[in-house]
Amino acid sequence: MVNVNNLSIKFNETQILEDISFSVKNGEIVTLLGQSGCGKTSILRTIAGLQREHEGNICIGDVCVSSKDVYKQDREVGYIFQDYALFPHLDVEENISFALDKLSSKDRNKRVNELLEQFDITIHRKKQIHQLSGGQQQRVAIARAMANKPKILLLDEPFANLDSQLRYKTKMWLKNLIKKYDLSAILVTHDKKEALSISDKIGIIHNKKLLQFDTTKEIYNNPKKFYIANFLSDINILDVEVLKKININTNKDEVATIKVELTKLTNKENSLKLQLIDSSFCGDYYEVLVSLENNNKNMIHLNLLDLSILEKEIYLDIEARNIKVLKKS
Amino acid sequence: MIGVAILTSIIGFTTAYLTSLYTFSFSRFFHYALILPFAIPTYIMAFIYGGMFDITGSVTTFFLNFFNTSIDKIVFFDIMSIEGAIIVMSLVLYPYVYLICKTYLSFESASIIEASKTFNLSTWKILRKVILPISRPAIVAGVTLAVMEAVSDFGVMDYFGVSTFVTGIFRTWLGMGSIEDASKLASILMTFLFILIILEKIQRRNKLYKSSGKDFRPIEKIKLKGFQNILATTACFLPFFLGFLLPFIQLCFWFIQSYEDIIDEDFMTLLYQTLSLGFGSAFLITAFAFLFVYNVRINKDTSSSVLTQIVKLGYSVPGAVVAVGILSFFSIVDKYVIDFVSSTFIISGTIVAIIFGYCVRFIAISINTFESGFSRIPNSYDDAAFIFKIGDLKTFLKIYVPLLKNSAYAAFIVIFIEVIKELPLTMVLRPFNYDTLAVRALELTQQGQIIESSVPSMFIILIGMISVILLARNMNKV
Repeated sequence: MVNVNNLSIKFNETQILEDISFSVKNGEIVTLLGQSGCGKTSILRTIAGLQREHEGNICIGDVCVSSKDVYKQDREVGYIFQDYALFPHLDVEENISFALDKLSSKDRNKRVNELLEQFDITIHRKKQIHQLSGGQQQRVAIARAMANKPKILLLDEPFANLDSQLRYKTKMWLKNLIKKYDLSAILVTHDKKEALSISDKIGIIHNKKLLQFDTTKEIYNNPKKFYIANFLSDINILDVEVLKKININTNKDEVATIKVELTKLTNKENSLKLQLIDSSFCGDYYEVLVSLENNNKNMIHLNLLDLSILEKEIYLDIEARNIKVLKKS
Repeated sequence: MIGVAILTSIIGFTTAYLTSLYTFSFSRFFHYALILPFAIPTYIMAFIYGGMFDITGSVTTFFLNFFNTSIDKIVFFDIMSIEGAIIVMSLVLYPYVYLICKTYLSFESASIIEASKTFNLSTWKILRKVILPISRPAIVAGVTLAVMEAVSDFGVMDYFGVSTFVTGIFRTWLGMGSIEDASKLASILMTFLFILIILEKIQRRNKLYKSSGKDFRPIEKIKLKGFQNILATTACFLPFFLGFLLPFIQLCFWFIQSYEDIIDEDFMTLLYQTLSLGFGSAFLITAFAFLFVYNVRINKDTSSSVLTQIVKLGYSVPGAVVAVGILSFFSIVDKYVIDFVSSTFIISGTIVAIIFGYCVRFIAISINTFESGFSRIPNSYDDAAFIFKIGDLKTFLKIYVPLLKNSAYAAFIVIFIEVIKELPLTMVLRPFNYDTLAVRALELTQQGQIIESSVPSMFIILIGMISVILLARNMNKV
């Protein structure tokens, strides 16, 4: 269990993060999601004790640490770096045993053998790191991170260096591993699909703040702010003309949105007559761009499985319950 | 200075342009051969050319025999002049411009040059409108290095009897015994050099055009045929011939003529002294440089970084100026030591003073090598060691030492070559009766024994060449 309480981080007088609080239970995968440079890696580094200066505290199990005792605590964390940080001059076996420096030679060898077997890399034990594929390198990095049986696993963009096919396999494998060992896992990424598919909970970081921290489904279905909705899913912003016709009012600081997947077309006549602007073939679906008739300022995107509906006059088919009115900031 | 700037930029840029963009007869050979003049120290080149153009020298004799005439009947070029010094210096220093321009033209400007070719412009127009303007910062960077070397030179100017600031410093100090006036001259020279460095940095800012892509790819070369092929081959052969082959052949002849008279027990002592000074200094300077860079890496504070940058300034200070500075400094230290401690601990004129001098002058090279080595070790390695609770010493031994051994080797060899070649600093700071190959070569030429001076010179060049080969092999390993 990890609790991060009121964490604030400054770099040379520049505030990077403000008042971040969240918790991770055992066996839970939490993803911190945000654009590159928003400070999410700094949170991981602070939890690991690598980021020295910070305010607020971090509790790992029953032990709470602040910036004053960075070095004093045995944090029991495993860290998987974005570049894996595997030492190029050491072979696979030596890289793993590097993490077990405190054990006796006999115990170290025993644990290394266990890990090699557990992570299915025994046949690679004498190979140099550059002789391994990206996926194999990641396994070695995870084996090394797990060597000291950590309670928390911190993962910094763990899938960034893998191709899309391997990414999916590794994601599932890692998810099972975390659940099997009942670890508290914190993952940072800027990839929303990755976050949605692996996480139990997601925290969105923007403008130094944790905007929303919730279960994956809740944050996807009920985002609290426009930024979150826009970041997590493809949305259409509905303009005043559309909103008038469906009797929805918004304030100046609000914006009405609907997910692209919930935006539909119909041939049944209604007040929202559309004109087709463009359509493009995307393999298993078509991307279609429409606008209200005689008003091509407000473009609406939607996805169609076939284009037959476009042969007749088209109208916007949206349900009021699918429209989210969200705060702009 | 202007002469060296013009000549090095013409030779350096032309050869870089040809070998980067075209293939022609022996172009692969010239790719490496054009760097070889670097192996010959400027003062040795001056001795050789001085000897060759002497009344009895090989070049003079060749022309007299060829035209079947006598010396008073033809107008012959006097090499022992400012023009001669410019030519000799340029023949040794053009590789600075060549190397920088070549790297730039071969990789970083590939997309710009290839884009300009799509507009169907003539080769001449592409050269004038695209390649020359985009190469200007690279040319200036190379020329600045060459000019700094030329301005700091003592050996060539002293031998050719050309008055410069550096020869002035020596004359004021050794001839007139005034270290204060020598220091004043040194300060003016330093001010001038720093202005030069600042101007170069200003002109380089925002002006080194780079390809937008991260992955630089080499430019596709065009094959030259017929007359163009002969012209390009000749343009590259001439600098190689005059800058390396001809002087080297001459040196070999002189060496064969005189080695039996020169190589004796004293010479072996001299060789031993030079090598041990080279090894000792290179070892210490490499170790100090490592500590400076390691300190910056570990502490990550501004003061360590600023200190390292200040220490690096030493390389832009001419050897003569460093020598005068160190001598002034140690004369003050020695005065206090004699007054308050004992006269047995005097530092001036000891091996400590000379190694300190080399350290001031050359530590920047090792620091740069280590900085580049450290930059290839991601910070995540240190973080991983921290997470696994590996102490600093073990991290140092298990991560840094194995990963930096090639950088250390490279730094050691480069410093070793520089120390072996260094003349003014060694001349001033060496202990009494402690000669090196460079000092002996100068002494022999000052006594008019040009042919005999080829023996220490040959050893310096051979040591330099062996070291460069070792360095190249090490680079291949990296």
